[in-house]
Amino acid sequence: MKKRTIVFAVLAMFFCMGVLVTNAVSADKIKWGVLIDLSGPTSDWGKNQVKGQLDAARWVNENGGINGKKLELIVIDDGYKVPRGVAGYNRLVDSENVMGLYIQSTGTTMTLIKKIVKDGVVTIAASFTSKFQNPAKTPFSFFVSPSYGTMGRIAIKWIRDSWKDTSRNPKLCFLYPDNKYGRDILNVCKDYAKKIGVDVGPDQVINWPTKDATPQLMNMKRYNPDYAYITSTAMNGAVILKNAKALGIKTKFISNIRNFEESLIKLSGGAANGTYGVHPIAPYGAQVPGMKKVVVSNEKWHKGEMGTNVYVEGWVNILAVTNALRMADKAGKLTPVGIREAFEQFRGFDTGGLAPPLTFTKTDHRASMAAKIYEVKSDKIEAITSWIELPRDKTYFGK
Amino acid sequence: MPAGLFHENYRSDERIFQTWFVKAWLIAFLIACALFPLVASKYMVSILTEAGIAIIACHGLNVLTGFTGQISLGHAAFLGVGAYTCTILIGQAGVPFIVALPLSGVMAALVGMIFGIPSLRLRGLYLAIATIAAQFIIEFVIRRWDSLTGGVEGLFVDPGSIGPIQFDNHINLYYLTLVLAVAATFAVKNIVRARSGRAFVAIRDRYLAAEVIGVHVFKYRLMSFAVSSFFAGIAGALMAQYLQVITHESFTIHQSIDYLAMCIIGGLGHILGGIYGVGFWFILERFLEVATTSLNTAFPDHVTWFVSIREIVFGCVIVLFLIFEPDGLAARWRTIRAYWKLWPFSY
Repeated sequence: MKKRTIVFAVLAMFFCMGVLVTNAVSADKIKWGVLIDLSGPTSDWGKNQVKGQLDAARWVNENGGINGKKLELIVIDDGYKVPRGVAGYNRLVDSENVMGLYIQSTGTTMTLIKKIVKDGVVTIAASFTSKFQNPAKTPFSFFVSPSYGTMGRIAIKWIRDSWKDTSRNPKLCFLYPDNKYGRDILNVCKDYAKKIGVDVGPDQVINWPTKDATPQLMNMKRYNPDYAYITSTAMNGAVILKNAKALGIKTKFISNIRNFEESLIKLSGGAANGTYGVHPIAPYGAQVPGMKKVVVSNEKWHKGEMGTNVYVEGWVNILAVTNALRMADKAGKLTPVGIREAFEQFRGFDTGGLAPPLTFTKTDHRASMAAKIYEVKSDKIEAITSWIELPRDKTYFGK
Repeated sequence: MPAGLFHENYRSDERIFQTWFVKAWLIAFLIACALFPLVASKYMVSILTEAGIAIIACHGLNVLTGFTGQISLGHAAFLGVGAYTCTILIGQAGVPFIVALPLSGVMAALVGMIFGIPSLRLRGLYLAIATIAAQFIIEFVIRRWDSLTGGVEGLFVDPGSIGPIQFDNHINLYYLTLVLAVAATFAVKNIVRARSGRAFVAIRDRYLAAEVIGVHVFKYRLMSFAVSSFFAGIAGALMAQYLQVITHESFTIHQSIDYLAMCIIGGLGHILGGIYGVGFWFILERFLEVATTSLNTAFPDHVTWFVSIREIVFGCVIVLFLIFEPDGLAARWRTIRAYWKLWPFSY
């Protein structure tokens, strides 16, 4: 009898929790979905991102909302698993009837891509692959940053432009995990490097979860590149930097956006000092006009917690969504198609310097083409260049 | 006239439906399933489709792990084999879906038999490790055989069709899954109550004794792998139709472990174990999802607290089941039924 009572009590407790916290239904609410990893391998990133989005939504609601309507974020954890992500998507779209949603995982986004087009739901992706930038193929996909490939090219351009030795070209290696995210930039970046005169050495595949990158780094050392471009996440990238420091490798490391965040500095235990990163989002606390509300909100609602550029990215996402929703609402077309049209009217939408101005058109969903190069100096992220902008040409569009 | 169930020969003892009452219930249940899409939302239909696919997969795993006692941690990989086979056959070879579907089961069965060969020498935990190898090898092949599988980019799945019925429609896919899940359940029931099933159970309980009484251990072990993978292949082909895009990330080891957990919860070695396990799993998952999302919405400041609830509850449920109900829900259901059968004169 006793064990039955325990099991019953546990079940009853969760049942009550579910019932007690049911939502009050209101007409003045706009639902927006957030499908994000809060418990899987990229959960440390996801938690900062969702914190930024929720704080931004709260700030928006306290400052007028969507023309008086409340923005409500519905957060679902997908644990970075595709089937769970698909189930979460179905729930958000078919059951919660959200206006649009944010999807973090590349795998889930790619799996859903046909469905998203068919369902006609606006999605904001955390996966900055250029495959989502061609509206002829993915009319409802948007993201607020240059693509991974564009950022890779920006880094390569910086390498070339800052290269002083005229006797030879700079040498570069790519370090990446063997998945869709890792391989996304390779074709575009290698082609671009060849064009502008940067020599590319052998690729080093460093899979997740990264426990030890010594063999790959030793391999890379034989080619002895001047620069190495890391596609990874902070948790895994930190291992690479630590190993490189231990091996005394002189190569300068450039981290991509998903690798280059404040936690990389913490996790690498000082090994990140002197390494670079290419990033379009302002680091937390940067001297830009839009940062004040971000810092104030973080300190007010999460006292003592570290702000990160992922948190700022969360803000940028919601500020962009808010602007599109306001425009669609004003036009009286608060529907997925109306929101898409609103996004496509963005012309240099300014987030107060948190990100480069955003532009989307009917034929081009590339938000921006600019990023800055940052360096880690005594455990702080500092910009060492101003905006490096690439031309908005069609050469690498959608590739 | 005998009171209650009274068997006079083996034929009646092995009957699928022991009483007309069970049959009536089952028919009522199937009618309810068939009418479900008429009243349910699109979301609920897709959830049930997913559950149906999981039931087929779990039946397969139950034959292997529950009846033959071979732990497999690579079940999702065999789903992957089925999914890719079906998709490639339809999309690249132009084979009609009705042919591609069973072929994907056959292909998975063949691959399953190859990975079942170590079962000749390996048992228990060692075999579990060998099946993990299957998981990693198959995943690796999918990732790297770019020309066939699309590599890390994955494959778009062409919707299958039988005659005029297209399976990119969620209701059609639901009915297909329902029919196949029912067929799979009867197939497993019949495999298990035949000679093969008795051989499986004999091998599970005492393989040495089984060999002594004349059971060809290796043959039946391999057969068990083949049957198990066949069901996985069919489930995989349906999964591909459901997901519409397949990548190696859809068939990971986490998925394999989830299937094993469903079987444990439902009851290893019970035909209905797969169904109960999947039912319980999906209900708990939806329930926790609703609970956590409403908590998230109500207290957005503490969003990161509540997501952990789901993981903790899932972990606790499995531990609780292992402690209090090692035979799973199927055994619990049997106890409850036995209690009510004699109620109120249970003494």
